[in-house]
Amino acid sequence: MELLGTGLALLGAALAVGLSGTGSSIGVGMAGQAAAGVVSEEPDKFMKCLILQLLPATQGIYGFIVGFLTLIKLNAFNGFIMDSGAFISVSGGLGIFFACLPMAIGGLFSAIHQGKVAVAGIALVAKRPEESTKGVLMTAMVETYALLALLISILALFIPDWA
Amino acid sequence: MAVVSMLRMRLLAHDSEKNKIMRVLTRSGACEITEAELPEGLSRPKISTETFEEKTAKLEFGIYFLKEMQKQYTPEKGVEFKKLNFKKENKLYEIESYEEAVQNEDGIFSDIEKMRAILNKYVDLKTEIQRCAAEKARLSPYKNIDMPLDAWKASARAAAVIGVVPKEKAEALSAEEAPGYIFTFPTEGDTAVVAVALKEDIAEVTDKLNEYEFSPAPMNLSVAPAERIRELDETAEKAAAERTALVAEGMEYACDLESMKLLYDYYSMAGERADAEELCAGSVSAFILEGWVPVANREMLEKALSECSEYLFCTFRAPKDDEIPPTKLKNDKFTSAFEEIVAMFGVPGYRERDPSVFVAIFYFLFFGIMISDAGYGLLLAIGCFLFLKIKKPVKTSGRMIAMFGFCGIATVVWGALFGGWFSITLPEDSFLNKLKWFNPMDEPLKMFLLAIAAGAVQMAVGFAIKGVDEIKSGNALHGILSQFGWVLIFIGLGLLFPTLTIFLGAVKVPETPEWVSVMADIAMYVALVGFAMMVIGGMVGKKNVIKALGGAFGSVYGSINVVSDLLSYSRLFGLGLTTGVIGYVVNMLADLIVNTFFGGGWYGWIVAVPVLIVGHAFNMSINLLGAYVHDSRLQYVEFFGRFYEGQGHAFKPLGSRLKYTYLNN
Repeated sequence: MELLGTGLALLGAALAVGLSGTGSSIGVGMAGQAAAGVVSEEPDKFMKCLILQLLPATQGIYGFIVGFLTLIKLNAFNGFIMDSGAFISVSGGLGIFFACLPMAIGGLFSAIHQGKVAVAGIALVAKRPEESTKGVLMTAMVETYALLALLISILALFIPDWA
Repeated sequence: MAVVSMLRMRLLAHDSEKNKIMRVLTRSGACEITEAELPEGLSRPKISTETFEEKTAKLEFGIYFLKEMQKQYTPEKGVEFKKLNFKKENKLYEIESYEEAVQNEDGIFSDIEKMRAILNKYVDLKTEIQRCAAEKARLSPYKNIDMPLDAWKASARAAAVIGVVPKEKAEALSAEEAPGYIFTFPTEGDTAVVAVALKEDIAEVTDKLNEYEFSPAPMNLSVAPAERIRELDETAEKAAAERTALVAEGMEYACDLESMKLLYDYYSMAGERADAEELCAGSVSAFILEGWVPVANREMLEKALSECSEYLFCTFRAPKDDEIPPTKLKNDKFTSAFEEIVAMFGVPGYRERDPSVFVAIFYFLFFGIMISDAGYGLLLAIGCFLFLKIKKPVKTSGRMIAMFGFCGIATVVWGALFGGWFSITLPEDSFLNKLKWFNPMDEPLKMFLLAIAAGAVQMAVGFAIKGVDEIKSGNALHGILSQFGWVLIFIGLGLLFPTLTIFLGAVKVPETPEWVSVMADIAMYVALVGFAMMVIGGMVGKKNVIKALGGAFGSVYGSINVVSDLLSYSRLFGLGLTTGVIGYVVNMLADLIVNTFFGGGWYGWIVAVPVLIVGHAFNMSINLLGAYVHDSRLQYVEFFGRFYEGQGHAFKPLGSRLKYTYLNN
């Protein structure tokens, strides 16, 4: 049972990376299908479509960052032994688990919705390529909430002295 | 740093001078022609643009033709072949070069006819090759029947059926008992089947064959299938050779490309000119032209006009209040690099303030915080400025590149402050480490406060600009109370900063110094005064008590928006940290490869170096994209939301409808 705290914290990391990654792959996947459709007609628009397709990819990266910072916090690269000389306590592990949740949930849903806006943006590029930047900006608006989730996850992970 | 003042030009001249005058205006690039006032008795001329459109369509075809040919073209070995440039030529052309191209246009247009013939032939050959391939595919199952297919004719008593069965059914079929004979001819694909039987039995045989997914042969052939396949191969080969020769012949017209581009733009400018002429007012033999000219270009234009014709009458006057002149921005080199960001949102109205200089400063600063790695910044700055040095983009086409170059410099500064050099952990006593202020990864809270502080500064500036504008436009009371009230609140927030950092634990001090709490008190009063000003500002100009209370409530409610906008600046923190963490992971991966997998041997680096390059390239590109997008957003939503409308229309002088070239004007 001495590893229960570590396990809980790792579960949080797994959710942050896994759910954000799932959201991003759904978003990037949708946008990719739309982009391939446009590029099949007009190969010149590849770069513009690629940028839009890439935008929902960031949630996966944010989730990865939260997961990685959790590993650092747990001192995973030195056998999970904390500064105190023991494994993290159950309450500490639970705290880190909850710290990871904003990113996991926010990342999952914002990436899917960002993917939908990206699909619409790609349709915009197909019709009026000169307005592509506006499509990019609209897509980026959704990302605000993933960034806020990242912010809270990181602050909640780092500021308290989890032990 | 401002919107350029415009003058209204009115020009009266004889029709015979029209062409010369239009040419002067085009070359000057200093006049946007607008609808002229229509005096009684005059009418707007009608000009047909059909011939121009026809010609541009032809030229478009010529350029498309070369593009298609180049895709198919493989130059002979040893022959140097430079890829054709189908984009805008990075070169300034004089107006004479266009006219020269027009003088030789007959040659070009007859070449385009020849190109059309080549393309028709090319399409025919392509169909021929496809036809051969299709027939070959249909014949290939029969290739082992070494006699003509129509030799299996029905005789007086016997009949034959020919067809194919799938490969996996063939073996079972040959074991089948049926009246007559069934011959099978296996190939690597489907198996050909010839069944011969007495006429009365043939139906039974066909039924049997159908059980094996038999499909009858679609053709009758008077030669052996193998022979026919050989013929087809020969035809296809010949056609392919012809096609290659045709492509080479088509590529000989590559030398026409530049002329076609010039002609295309000449005729598209001619169309533009025709549209402009339709805005003039004309009598039987004279015309009136009106348009906007930047003040600085007046003298030059007057001189050029008087040189070109003696018989014209031209006046300039300042715009009236109800007229809306176009917007042209003029800024120093640094600021103008960021004009693109403003233009994407919308250029300022003629009487509005040009926000470029503020955008430039803040965009520059925020970009650096978002990337936060001096190594990446160095690469970005060097890359962009080298590109500008070597390619020398003409006119404003290099503006964005210059912007990213400047942003690279900001990134170097911030990166050095954050100690980010390709995310390498700096040795304790190194020079670079001494440059460091703090590492965002170790002190995330400090980074968060920095992001919010940067946002507070920008928003305070936004409020101040709006306040100044309101005072200037005669709305002094509201401007001072509402806008500067907010500025005061932000100043209070700034004074509160030391307390906040200590309270939140971003800076660790053993004992809170005296001056911090004094400052906090002052901060509170300053902010309270600001808040009161803002509330009163909401009441200004309201007629009765209820409306005034509503206004006050509105200002307080509006402050929620301000707070949420302020929090939006936390993206500076998020993106800044992202770069560092991913870079750190890449480095760790390389370290793992070298020290764990390869036990510290030098050969580990053979694998590790590509990992480092690809990883950092990925990190840099994804963060550049993020910084570009989110930095723009901060300008548009959080900053422009405070004061900027951007409803102007950009100055578009005669001679700017160009697709493939730049006119020197």
